Amino acid sequence: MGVEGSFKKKIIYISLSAGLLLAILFSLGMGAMKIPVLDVLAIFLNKTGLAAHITVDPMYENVLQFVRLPRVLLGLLVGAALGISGSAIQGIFRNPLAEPGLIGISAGASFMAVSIIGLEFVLFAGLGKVLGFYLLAFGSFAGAGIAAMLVYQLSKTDGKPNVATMLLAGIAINALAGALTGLITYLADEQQLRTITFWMLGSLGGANWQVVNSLFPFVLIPVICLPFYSKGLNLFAIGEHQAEQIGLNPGRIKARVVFLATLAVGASVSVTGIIGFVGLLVPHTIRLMGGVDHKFVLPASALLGALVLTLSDMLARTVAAPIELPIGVITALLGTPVFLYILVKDKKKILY
Amino acid sequence: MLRVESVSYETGNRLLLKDISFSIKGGEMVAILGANGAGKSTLMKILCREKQPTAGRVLFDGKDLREYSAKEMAAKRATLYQQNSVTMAFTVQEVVMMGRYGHYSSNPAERDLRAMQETMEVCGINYLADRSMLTLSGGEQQRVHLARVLAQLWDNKEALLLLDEPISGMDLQYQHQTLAIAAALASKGFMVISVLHDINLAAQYADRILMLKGGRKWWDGSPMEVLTSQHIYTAFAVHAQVETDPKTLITHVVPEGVLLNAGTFNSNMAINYNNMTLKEKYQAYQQAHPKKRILDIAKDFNISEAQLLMTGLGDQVTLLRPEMDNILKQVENLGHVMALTRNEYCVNERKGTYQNFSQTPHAALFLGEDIDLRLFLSKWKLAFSVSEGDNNSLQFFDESGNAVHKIYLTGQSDKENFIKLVAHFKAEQQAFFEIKPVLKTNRPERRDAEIDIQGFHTAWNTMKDSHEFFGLLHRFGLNRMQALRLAPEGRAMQMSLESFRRTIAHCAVNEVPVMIFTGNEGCIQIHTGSVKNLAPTGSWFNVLDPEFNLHVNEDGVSSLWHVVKPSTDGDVNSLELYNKDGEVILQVFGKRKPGIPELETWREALAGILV
Repeated sequence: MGVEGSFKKKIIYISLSAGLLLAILFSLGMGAMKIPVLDVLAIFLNKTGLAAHITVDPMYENVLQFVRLPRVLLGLLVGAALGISGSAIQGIFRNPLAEPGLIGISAGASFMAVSIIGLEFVLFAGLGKVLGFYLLAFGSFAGAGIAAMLVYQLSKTDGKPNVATMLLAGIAINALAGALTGLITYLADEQQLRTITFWMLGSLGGANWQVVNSLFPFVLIPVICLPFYSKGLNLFAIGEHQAEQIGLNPGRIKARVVFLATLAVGASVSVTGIIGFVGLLVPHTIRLMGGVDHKFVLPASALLGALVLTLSDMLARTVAAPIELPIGVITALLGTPVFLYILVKDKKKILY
Repeated sequence: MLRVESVSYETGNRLLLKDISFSIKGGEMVAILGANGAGKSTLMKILCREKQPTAGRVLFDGKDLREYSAKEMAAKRATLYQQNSVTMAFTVQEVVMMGRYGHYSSNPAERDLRAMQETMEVCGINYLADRSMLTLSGGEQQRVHLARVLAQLWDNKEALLLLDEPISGMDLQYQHQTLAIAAALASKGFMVISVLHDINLAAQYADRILMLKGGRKWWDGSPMEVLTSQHIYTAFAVHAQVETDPKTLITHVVPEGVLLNAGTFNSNMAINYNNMTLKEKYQAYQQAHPKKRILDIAKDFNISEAQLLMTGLGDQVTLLRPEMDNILKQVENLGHVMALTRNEYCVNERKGTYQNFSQTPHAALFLGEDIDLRLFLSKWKLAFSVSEGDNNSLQFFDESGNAVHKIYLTGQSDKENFIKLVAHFKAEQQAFFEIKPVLKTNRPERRDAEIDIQGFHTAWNTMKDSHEFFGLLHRFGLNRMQALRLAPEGRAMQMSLESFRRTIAHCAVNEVPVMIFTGNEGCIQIHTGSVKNLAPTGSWFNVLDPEFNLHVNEDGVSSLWHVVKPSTDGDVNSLELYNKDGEVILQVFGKRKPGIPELETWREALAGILV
């Protein structure tokens, strides 16, 4: 809150935004077909009518508009969703090791996704034709929501959600969903197994404008709303009873934050599959850089999450081009060393 | 104004708070004291609305606590919890600012920053402002939370401040600083309620003390009223000395330390303890409890007083030959001494000279002016002399080792004759031997139907002398309680316990001379004369006159009777105290002599006071 602190935070915001902008520009250019950065800029200026006279290769234009842009935007949205939800869930649990997966979001989504893939031809055949590509997305979103709801309801003691019970209920629901997922995986054939594995590792490959448009509100609403709970989440750090004495309703905050996080993460996971480590690492990195005040951590996590995912996706597309790596592999490969470095360097700061 | 109206709190069939009522107004600082599990924290949780009372209600400025919104409450009340942990690396400033969260929406205003600055300053945490909470010590953290709680109410003048053990973990300076801040805010109009463990800090800073025990409000008043040795013992089971500084009027409590021998509770270390002689155990115990009397220590050891006394044989204690009558005949030579006769609930001490010894078939008698005794020597089995410094005494015990009578030398006693007496009666064998207590068997009460009630009534109504009463009991096969219960109309009336104190007080004020009989199986000691100086302390009622002391433990009194016995000199009225076994603790008569009717003033005392 000191002058120094707020200055530092401004610097972080500016660097993150600038980094994100650059990453977007480069990411738009990179891939199976390389588009020079200047051309990317030119297309933008052209499209927005700022420089109508510049002409660019129409091929570039098409790739950019229908392939790259939706993909980069999807990465942005999902990254922001994972980053901000991760920090919010850690705030609720008063535990820096928490992540959205802990309350069953990922497990619920995986279970439903794997069920749909594995049992596609048995149960969902009829439905599948009607809903087409979206079946998987809607199914896993529903799975995420149901699991989170279940955990939340189980955690209620005396009408108030209890954080410790929530953690335990989350572990139980995770184990249950995990077991069922395993069972279906075991029954799946060769082709299904490949799909399942690919989904589990996450990918932005399914990006198109329709996906981006439908995901947009699910991410935008939490990203806008969650920062309003930053004071509440700060108070959670000193204890729920203490928070209540300062005039808060911790139960209500918990319900809403869990809802918003599930909305963002559930929707993201449903279209991209599970992308690990972002929700855990991004908030940590932000806290180590600029302090733990949620008023700063929440938006900054959204920015860094978007940045990390944009970069990861760029790498996923280019490292072994034309083969595309699952993005979950990249985030884990990149994230783990960074995380371990931070952990070793600053053990005390990170764990308590 | 905060009013707590018969609040109870029950959880899982356990009643944690029972019918607690009190109120506190602006300007008051109340400390809640009590042992662990007394209900202090539960009460605090109800006051800060974390828990709802299962019965009763709490009114805050006239409105039920339940009707407030969280926001309204937060504006008028702040709570410092006993346990505060911060799980993320918030800085001290950030945590203090949390107290202001209810006051601004997105950015702190000027007054919020000022509140933060001022509270940090008064709590002495300025220099920690940018430190992470995770790097602070427990006491420092607690100070940060205090600042946060104060910041919450900083622009309020009449708020309620609830502190649940606020000073735990703080160093001496900040224990005082914290309570001083609370007291200062109280003096400006705040209501402060604080749970405290340190009695002395409570006495120093609180205007009022609320003492809880077993979920009930036990005492409520100024520190001077509430903090007495007896109250502290009742609440905490710790003996303590209490003094009030006459200049500052601050009450100081000095608890007596507890000394334990590890051998008594750790079986691995018990070998030494078990091998200790009774004498060593006694000495160790005396060191730990210097104020405890031998009788109480004997009770704790579960042995008789005489047995414990015998650990001093060859040292300060001398066993005498049990020639009781011969010893007693020599007591007159000791001059002015103090006679002590006691039973479980009453001690009668009278100073004077033992005179006019005589023996009858029933009893030996001393019929002196001051020392008036009936001695049943067949019960007297052991005689000792005890000399500890200037404290010399002859002590007599029954076969179970219970004291029947003691004679203490005073400053005016003839000490040389005492030495001669002891030398003369000293037993040859001074070795320790075991006293086997003899179990007392009370004769079971006979059924009322077996008793000639008619005859008993007639006999009672035609008594010629009150001494006949004992024979009467024997003749009709009655014990005392049954006799009183079956007494003829108007001869035995049960009274309230208070009548005893009031009668004695009346006699003291109106100078009515009385006869007070205190006895046990071996001895009855009669004080005849006035009572003047009455000093009740807790359950003990005491008469502390220069020549006569009486101590009655009213907790042992199970019933009190006004008994009327006819005699040739008219009715004789007495007030009689009985224990739960129906044994006499004490009897009070008006001063009288055979052939002279009872004092009219004594009758007035009884008639006017009995309730």
